[in-house]
Amino acid sequence: MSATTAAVPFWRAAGMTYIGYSNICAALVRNCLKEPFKSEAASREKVHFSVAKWADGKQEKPMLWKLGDLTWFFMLQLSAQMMNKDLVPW
Amino acid sequence: MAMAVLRREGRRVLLSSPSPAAAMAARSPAVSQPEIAPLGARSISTQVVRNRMKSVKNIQKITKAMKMVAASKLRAVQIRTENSRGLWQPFTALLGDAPNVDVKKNVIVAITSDKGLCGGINSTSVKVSKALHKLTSGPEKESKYVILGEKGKVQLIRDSKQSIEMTVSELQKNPINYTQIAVLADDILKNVKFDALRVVFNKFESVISFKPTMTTILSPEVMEKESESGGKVGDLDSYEIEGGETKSEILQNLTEFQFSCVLYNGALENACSELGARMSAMDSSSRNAGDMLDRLTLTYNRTRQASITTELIEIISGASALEG
Amino acid sequence: MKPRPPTPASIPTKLTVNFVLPYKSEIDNKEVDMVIVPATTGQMGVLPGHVATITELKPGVLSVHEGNDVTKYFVSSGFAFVHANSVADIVAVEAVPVDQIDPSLVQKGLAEFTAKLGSASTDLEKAEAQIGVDVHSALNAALAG
Repeated sequence: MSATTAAVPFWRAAGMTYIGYSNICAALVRNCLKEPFKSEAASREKVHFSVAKWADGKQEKPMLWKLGDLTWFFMLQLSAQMMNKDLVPW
Repeated sequence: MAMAVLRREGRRVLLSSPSPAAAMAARSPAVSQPEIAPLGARSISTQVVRNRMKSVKNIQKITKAMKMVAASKLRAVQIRTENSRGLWQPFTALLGDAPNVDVKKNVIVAITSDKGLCGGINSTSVKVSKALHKLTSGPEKESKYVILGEKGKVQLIRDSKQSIEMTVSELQKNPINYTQIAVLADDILKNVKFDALRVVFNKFESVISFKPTMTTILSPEVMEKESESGGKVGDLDSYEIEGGETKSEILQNLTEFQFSCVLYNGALENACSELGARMSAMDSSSRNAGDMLDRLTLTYNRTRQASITTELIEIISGASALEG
Repeated sequence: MKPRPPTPASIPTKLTVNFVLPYKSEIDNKEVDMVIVPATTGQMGVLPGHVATITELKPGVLSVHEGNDVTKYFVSSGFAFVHANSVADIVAVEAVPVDQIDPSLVQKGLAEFTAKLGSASTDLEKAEAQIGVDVHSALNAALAG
């Protein structure tokens, strides 16, 4: 393998992981489908879970991930996370 | 009505000659139920047994219904699980599986269920996680938990509170899909430092058999180290990297993607196992309820017949006392 | 997991392809003549006997050639591994047959994201807009070609 370190892809430089990148791509593709494929694909995009971080044996305030349409709001979540803001529940 | 009149007649007889009636009253309850009817009361109360029978029958109905619900849900999830099984196989074909890799930071991702009444699968997952934790902790090594599901959290809180890094719940509100798990995997990767991730879940073999399974995912740095030192991952070097990026860049993307695929498959398998375990738990519960109902019916009949016999004896002895 | 076939001594005539998505196995152990995958460096053709390769995929068209049949899928992203034993594994997050794509939505998306790219301020917004532009241009190219 070449020894020269290639520049990291633009999305990694902006703080995304590969998973984030691939999810955004997939959501965008799903958005461009014809009906009825689009509505069947919508069921593959629902996200709902609640995460709580722990520190020193104590549970901190849980954060709820709740997304219907992933396309736009994934990006919002990412930016909220970057700025350490609370997620907008909806 | 006539019976009631005779009963009242009998009561007067009872008060005058308490011993035979009292003896009758004392014998029957001792045979049937622990609640001794107070001496002097009329018939042995079948109300208590009847109430128990009603509640046991209700329980049987509920558990039967829960079994049906679990069976129908299982059919849907099973299809998706089988479809997802092909997802992790390419990664294992490429990178191999190295369960006994020795690293400094281990993170144990335990997948459990949110709801209970599903038999022993959550306890087995927690047992395996605890054993792993013991194996992977020591001087210079540490291991932390990331717990998916309420039941696992409840069990691990009791003695391993300090080692918990993150807990996740409400995962099964919507049917599990890849996007959801990928977002979760992303969250875990961003917040938890690891050298090796060990995902513990129950693999769904059949409706009655679930095997606790562990999958290991190495971080890109460890993966590179292992591939250089040879061994199972050693073949990795023989692969050309197409894309002009460095090997570590591709490896990083690869391990992230592998984690999310493996977690997806693990979550689905665990969901299947949970439904299968719930089916068998509810099935045995219904069967037990049925057995209990049979026993109670026998008791009820015996009690009822004893009280009728008592009545008859009193009436007859009363009648014979009046005659002679 | 089924054990993989060992590396044969001579180059085999057919390529065995596994194309998996999270929600199903699109192609399972099928023998084909060639696949063309959209690698990050461009369209890469994989023939039987191809050197062992790991490649990351970018949004683009994946085509499977079997005799005279060509099946085309649009892949959003993923990885392709070619093993020494002429087995190709393609793992994608989302893949749709090209005829399921709606051209008007593609045009609309492309216009939106190009506008976003212009107005983006933070690194993150720029990256997101760039991804949008990339994906939609690839979709456009897939529909055209």
